[in-house]
Amino acid sequence: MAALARDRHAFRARGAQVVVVGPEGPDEMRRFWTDRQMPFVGLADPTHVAAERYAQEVSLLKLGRMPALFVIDRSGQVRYAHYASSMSDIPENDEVLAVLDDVAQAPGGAEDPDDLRERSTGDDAGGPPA
Amino acid sequence: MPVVVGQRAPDFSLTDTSGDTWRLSEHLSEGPTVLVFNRGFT
Repeated sequence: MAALARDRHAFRARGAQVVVVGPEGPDEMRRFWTDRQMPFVGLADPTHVAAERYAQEVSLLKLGRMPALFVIDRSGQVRYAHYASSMSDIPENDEVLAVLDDVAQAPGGAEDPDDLRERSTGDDAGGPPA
Repeated sequence: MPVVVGQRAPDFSLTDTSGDTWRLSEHLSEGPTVLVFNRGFT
């Protein structure tokens, strides 16, 4: 988490939103976020709703949920998936940032929804905008 | 089943640290999402 926070500007520069899901309840999550001034969206998942949808592993041996990280593009497609093999097995930021660069270069990857709307309006008009 | 590259990201809705409901599908258009599942903070 500290590493992600350190590179928050690099993530923002790529237009990415970092969303962190934790197993604590809303009050605990809020306290942690406030105390640490976390620059990301923090989501409380005490009943493991999202964790189960993303098949986050639980290690009884290691007494907890194993970290996992995904990159999802604007269309909702998963572009990167990493399931940790240990509690410290977290991808380097450079690896994740490289994925974000690839996503931005893919057709439609860097599109801004406002641009799409504008283009759609232009097409409807039957020609280029004046 | 593990989530794999190329598939549609499963949608979900949770409470954020402001106490508001946050649904993945409502935020996708804001930019690529780096979704991190943590082991826990406490």
